[in-house]
Amino acid sequence: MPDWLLHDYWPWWFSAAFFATMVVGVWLAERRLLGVSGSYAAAIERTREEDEAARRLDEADPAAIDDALMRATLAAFGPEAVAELEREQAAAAAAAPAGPPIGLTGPRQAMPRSAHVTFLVMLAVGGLLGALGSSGWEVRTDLGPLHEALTGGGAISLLALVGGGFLVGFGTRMAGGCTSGHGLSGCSRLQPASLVATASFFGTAVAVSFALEAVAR
Amino acid sequence: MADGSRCSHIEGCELYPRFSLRGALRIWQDRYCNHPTHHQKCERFVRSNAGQPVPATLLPNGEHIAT
Repeated sequence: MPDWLLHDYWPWWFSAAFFATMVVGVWLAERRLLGVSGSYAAAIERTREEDEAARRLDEADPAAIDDALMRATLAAFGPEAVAELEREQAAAAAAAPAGPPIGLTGPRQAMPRSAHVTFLVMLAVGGLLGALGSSGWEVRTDLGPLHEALTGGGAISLLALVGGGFLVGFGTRMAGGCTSGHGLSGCSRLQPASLVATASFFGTAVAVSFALEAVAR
Repeated sequence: MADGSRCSHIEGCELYPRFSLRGALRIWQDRYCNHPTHHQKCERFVRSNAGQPVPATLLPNGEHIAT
């Protein structure tokens, strides 16, 4: 293994290429956006009702789903509204023959809970392998000397970590995504909400780092 | 990840792509997903925001696809 892979941190250019490959690869292979918190939420929150509904939809004959959807559509909006929309679409298509539709166009199967769990477990395994292959792995209850200086160490330090983790989870759900979902998937697609969210993540992190360092001195 | 005028849950919605498969089905997108305000009435949107289960068969009007 090359030396530069065995350091505490990978070189920025390797990390950038690696994460870009992952994000684009997941999109090309699965037509899904990469997001850790979304997978975590799906793994722990998905109910039996959701699993059963997804299974029924995935296993049903596409033509049967199409028919069922059409029946539900006619029942919801009435045949006149549907016919009017079809006339408008036909007129629009005749006026300007369109190319391939933009955006999500194909049916997408619901990702089973096992896939989310596997993804999350592999994240931990990858982190462990990375630690074992570089600086070594050890269990710590602090975030370094600065954290120790601020919390005094011991149980308080551990509680601060748990409380911080809780706040991160809370903020992630409020923001609709975490650093992977917003930072990698959202920013790469220039989504305004993701740009704002990521700027908030990192801006806050930089400001808090400076503030804590000033307090600790 | 919304642009402010349509539903912010489109990217992860299991039904939205299905509504693109046939012209007539796009009425759901017009009346709910892409509508600036009506998407907030979508039962999937409401349930998701309330932290409740959102079955794949649940339609925006609260009915289910009868497969």
